[in-house]
Amino acid sequence: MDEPVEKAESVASLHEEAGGGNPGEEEDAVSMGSNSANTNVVNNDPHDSAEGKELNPNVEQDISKAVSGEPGVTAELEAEEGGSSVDIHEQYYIEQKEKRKKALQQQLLDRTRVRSSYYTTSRKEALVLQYVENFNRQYVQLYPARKDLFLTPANEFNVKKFVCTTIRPTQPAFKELYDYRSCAKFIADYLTYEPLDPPHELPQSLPSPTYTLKVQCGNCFDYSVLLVSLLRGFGYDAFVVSGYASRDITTLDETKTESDTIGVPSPKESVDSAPPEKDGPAEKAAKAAESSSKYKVKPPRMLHSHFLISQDEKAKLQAQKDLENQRLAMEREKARMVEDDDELKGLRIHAWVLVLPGKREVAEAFFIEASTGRIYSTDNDNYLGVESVFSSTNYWVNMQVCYDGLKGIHFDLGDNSKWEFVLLDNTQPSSYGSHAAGNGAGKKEDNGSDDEDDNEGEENSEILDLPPSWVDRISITKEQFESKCPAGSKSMLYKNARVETFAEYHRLDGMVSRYTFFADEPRGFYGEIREFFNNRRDKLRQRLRVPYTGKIHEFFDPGRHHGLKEHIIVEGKTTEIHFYPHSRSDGLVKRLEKEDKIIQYFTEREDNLVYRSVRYDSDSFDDGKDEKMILKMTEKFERNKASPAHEDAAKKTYFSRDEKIRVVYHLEDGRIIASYREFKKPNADQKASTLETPISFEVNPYLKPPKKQHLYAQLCNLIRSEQACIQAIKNSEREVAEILQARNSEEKEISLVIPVYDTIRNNTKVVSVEEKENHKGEEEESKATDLDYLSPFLVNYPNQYALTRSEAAAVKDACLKSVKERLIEKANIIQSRLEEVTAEYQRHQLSYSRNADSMTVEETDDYVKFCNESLFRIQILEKRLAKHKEAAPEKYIELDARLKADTRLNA
Amino acid sequence: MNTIEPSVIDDEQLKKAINEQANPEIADIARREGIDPKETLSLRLDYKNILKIDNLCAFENLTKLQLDNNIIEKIENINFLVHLQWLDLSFNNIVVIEGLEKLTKLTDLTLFNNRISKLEGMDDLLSLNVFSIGNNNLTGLENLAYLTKFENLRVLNCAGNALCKNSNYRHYVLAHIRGLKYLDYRLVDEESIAAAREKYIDDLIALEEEEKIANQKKEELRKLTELNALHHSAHIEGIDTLFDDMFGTDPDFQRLLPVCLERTTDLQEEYRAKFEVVVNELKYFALKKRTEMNDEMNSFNECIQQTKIETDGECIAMLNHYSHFKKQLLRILQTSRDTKEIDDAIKTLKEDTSKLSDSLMAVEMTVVEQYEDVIKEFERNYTEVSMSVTEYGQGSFARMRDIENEFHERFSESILLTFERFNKGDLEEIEDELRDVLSDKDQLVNTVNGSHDFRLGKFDHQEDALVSGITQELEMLTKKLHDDEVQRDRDRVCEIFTFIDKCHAEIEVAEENAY
Repeated sequence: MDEPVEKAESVASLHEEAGGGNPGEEEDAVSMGSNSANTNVVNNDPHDSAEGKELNPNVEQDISKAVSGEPGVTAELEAEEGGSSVDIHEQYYIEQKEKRKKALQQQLLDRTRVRSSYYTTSRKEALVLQYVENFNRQYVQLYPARKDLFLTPANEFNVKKFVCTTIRPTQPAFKELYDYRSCAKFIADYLTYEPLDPPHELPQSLPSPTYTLKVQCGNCFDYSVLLVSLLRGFGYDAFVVSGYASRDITTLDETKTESDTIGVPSPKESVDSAPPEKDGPAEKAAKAAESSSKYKVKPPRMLHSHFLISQDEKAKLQAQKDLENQRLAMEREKARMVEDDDELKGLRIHAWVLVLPGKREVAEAFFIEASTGRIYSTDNDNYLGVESVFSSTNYWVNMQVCYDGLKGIHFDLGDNSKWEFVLLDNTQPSSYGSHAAGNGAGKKEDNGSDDEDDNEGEENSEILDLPPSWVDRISITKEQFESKCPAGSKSMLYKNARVETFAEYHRLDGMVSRYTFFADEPRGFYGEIREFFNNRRDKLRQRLRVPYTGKIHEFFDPGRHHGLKEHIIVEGKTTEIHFYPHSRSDGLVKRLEKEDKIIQYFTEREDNLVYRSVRYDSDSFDDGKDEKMILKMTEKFERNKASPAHEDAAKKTYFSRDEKIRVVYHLEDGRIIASYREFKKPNADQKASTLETPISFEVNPYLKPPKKQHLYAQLCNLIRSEQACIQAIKNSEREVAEILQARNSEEKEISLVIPVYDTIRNNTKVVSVEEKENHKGEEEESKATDLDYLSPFLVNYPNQYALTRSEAAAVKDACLKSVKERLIEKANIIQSRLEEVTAEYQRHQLSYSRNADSMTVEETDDYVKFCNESLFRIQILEKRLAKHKEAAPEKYIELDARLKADTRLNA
Repeated sequence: MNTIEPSVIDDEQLKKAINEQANPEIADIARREGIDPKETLSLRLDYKNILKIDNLCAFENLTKLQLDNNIIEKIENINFLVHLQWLDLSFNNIVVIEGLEKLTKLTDLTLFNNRISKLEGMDDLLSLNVFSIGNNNLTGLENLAYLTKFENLRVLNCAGNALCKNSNYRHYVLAHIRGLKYLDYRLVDEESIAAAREKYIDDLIALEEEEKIANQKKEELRKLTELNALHHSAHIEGIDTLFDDMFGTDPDFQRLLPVCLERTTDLQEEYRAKFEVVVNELKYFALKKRTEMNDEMNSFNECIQQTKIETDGECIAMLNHYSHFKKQLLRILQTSRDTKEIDDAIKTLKEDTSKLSDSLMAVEMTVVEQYEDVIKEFERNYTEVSMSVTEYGQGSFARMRDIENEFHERFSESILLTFERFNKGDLEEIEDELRDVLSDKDQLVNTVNGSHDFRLGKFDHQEDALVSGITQELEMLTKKLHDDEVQRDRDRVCEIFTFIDKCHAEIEVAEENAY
């Protein structure tokens, strides 16, 4: 045996003494099973394996039940959902999912693809394994009652590795993961959870984090190792904790937690939101007292009957009592539900993550549940015991007793009386360092084993150092990061909801998450589905469906045509449309549609209009006419400070059928009753002279009655504004029709937009300049080959590739001849054009010389301009002709040479 | 044209003019009913051969007046049109700009094609925006500097005047009149302004200096008036200058002063020091109490406002409720054929109406009671504060009198001492005037006493101003509060009754129609 191992052995033996205290106590521990040095707080004896096995089937059942959640409710909701939601997108999506899964399974173990360290054991590793093995042997001997330690599980290639070397601190290049919460959330979402099987045994193997990341599934240990690797890479002082947890945790059963505890917005608020209680007189008085401390009016004397009050109180008391009873009953019910016994309580093995303070501004130690990404305090009820803790640097065995869950357990790993370490060469987790060392020393003195310090000092000089991690750097690609969930989707079940997450662009309809809230009838809630979308071209952001009422509420991001913001449909009929008023010229905020009424709300308009409603004649619906008869229209206005209140219309009502218009004015200062006027519309044939005196009410009787001319002017204005109102309503109708049509076609063909900055999905490849050049060259070549100059002459010959000599000569001659002709023709064209231009130039010159004296300045200018132009053209044409004459023979010769070289004519 | 007689604006002409410009829609009715000149906002009287402007007194609300193309020789009888914004007097025979002093809202003034030779009489038209003075007889370029003061002037038309021939004309105008956008029909560009300012840079600097000084003076004056207003509101106006007043305006003291100049000045300084202390204390106290009173007032108003909002809200809710039901019942009356139903509806309507009336009145009664209590409380507090000021003021003035008495004793002592020395003949070389003063002892003593009395009189006056001022204020405030409350109450009751009457009338009509 090598020297270091021997030393390690002696070290290990020393540890035992340091940790375990005197042997007598240990014997006690063994005999009493779970009492002293054992971390398991269990009701039934943990090492009774027979009983454990017997229990197994039950456990399996439990698990399956838990996973399926509350089948009744889910099925119900799904049935409701079924009619509308299993559309083509859903189907396509499911198919895709299956495909992906298969592809992943194929990507299994392939030795050629990984580093040799994955399937071999280096000398150093062997040493460490030996040392650890030794430690384990002693540990088992000393604490036979305790569960095995998770020290050297096999990896995915069935090679034994020390757990500490399986952790590979890596920092991926995503700033989104820098915070521990988002990092944990990512891991929790990205992997699929597999419960341990059997739940009370340690897993047989522990694959590398890279493997876990690839297969996208794993048990709690795989989760935790991966998460710790990342967290340590980001600088957190993170550890994997191996211990015991409740059933809900170990089976990833979230069906007992309310969805809102994990940040899912609860729909209850909207349902339960009762109108706030109206201020009683007492509160009012209190408010008055607040606003002006000095003066307040005495509230009017209230005359109460004492009898009635006492009766009321009695009733109230009774109601309260009832409520209390109900609550108690409910609590009992709840307690019963929670209590339902778990035979394996305290035996279920689990692994999670511990983050110690000191680094990255972490102030207090906390747990991260790797399977859900949730944060727990270190004394949470769900965690029942800790067996050991390990990181990439060392392995610590818990020496504290977990009587009452984790309450009272200290996580200062430097304290040797509480934590037994495996490797000596590691510095203890920093922040506790000095303090813990002191603590430890104190404890040791108590135990009466003084000589240890010296021994430890000796050993420290030649410590066994940990081999580097055998795992590759963990690499997360951008695609992986964005896909978020295994195969792009993940579904979680909570007590009151199911949450499904999808990766962006994973689904064709752009859905990124869906919350299905289950019905809770005693609380008056009948279930609801919320779907969130991203990157939709139609800017749909969220859709809320309430199957119970048949309501669909869609939310849109700004930027749509017409400024559409929200769209509410109840049973297939649009009832409410909200708009972004600032992206509209008419300041429309929302539009409500009721049976025979349409209401529009406006804001920030120049004419102060805030409300417009139309009531249609419900009888006219029956007639089946296209045009609905307008019964009346109402417009409401805000106060316009520029004109006096009694002349500023607050409400205009146009009674279309009764040919009446009523104007209600704003309240004057200190008034409670508004003035109004009611005009009768004059008939078309009547002249203005027959204005009927309007019915009116003036709140101020001393005001001079208005003159007829003013009334008439007002009436004229009102008639005009009525016309405008009708027009506006028609426009609005048209617009809504447009919107609905647009929505329909959008839903039919959903398209997603890809941002310009998205490098993964943008198909517009940026081609490098060089490539482009190459491309161009290729294109030209292909063009050249495509263009067969002989083809026109070959068509006449049936056998193009086997021409006789005479035929070949004929073709050649024909070809040359045609080229010659073309060249001559071209020369002729140039020549004729040249002559033309020259002639014109000469003509102009002539006419100028004749009329030069009588010409105006402008004409002369024109002439000069023309001359310049003509001369220029003549020059160009001459040049071209010369060039052509020069090039023509060359071209002819070139073609001749080519024809001679042509294989087809070589016969 | 020449056959038409020169005329004065008369009623007939005016009537015709306003009828012509009436809105065609309502013209018929308006003509029959007659248009109130008070409601006319613009008036057009062009090509009427008018010689004299007159008879416009009825059109007091005019904002636009067109008198172009007449033969007016003098701007007159339009000074009362204070709302006028637009005045067109082009193509007339006006010689002098005058009679525009009250038209401070005028933004657009056109005097094109007249016979004006000097810019003047427009000092008050500070909001002037567009000014046309083309085709006139302006000659001196310097006269245009008159337009510098119009800060809002953007459009100026000067073309066709003799001064335009001056080569410096454009530069001069651009340099002196800031903010001009259009000059003589043309848009003004930045460059030409810069060039013009360059040219007249010296003038401009001088002008700026003057302006600065003027502004400073204005600022000082403003501060002083503010302080005075503050003191006035605290009824201690003139207390700062009281001491100087006391001695400066007293002829007796002025005569006595030279008798023993040094000694008197010393005494006076001593007196001043003591006096200042008292005055400052009084000032501080009075101003402090003034702010307290203001606070009191504010919190009172707030309380009233709050109550008002609450009760009015209550009433409005009641009314809305009622109107809603009324509407329904009236509809029943209109549509129903069943007599019993109609009867029921009418009955409930009437009941509802009277119930509404009762409850509205009840609310009003409570409000009246509540307000009365609050007002009483406020008055009590306010009076208390006022009284404390009065008392403190009286105490201060008593102290002042003590100081005055002390001063008087020592002063007369020193005067008498001088007198004795003079009698003894110690003082030889003195002026004749002094000799006169010192010649008679009785007269001397009388003068000294007179001066004393004068100062005491000043104190009395100041004290009186303080005390009576406070009392008056208190009275006025109380009266105003009560009057306002009574008015409010009346208005509300009247409002309720009018409404209820109206409702009854409506119900009756509906009832008649129903049967």
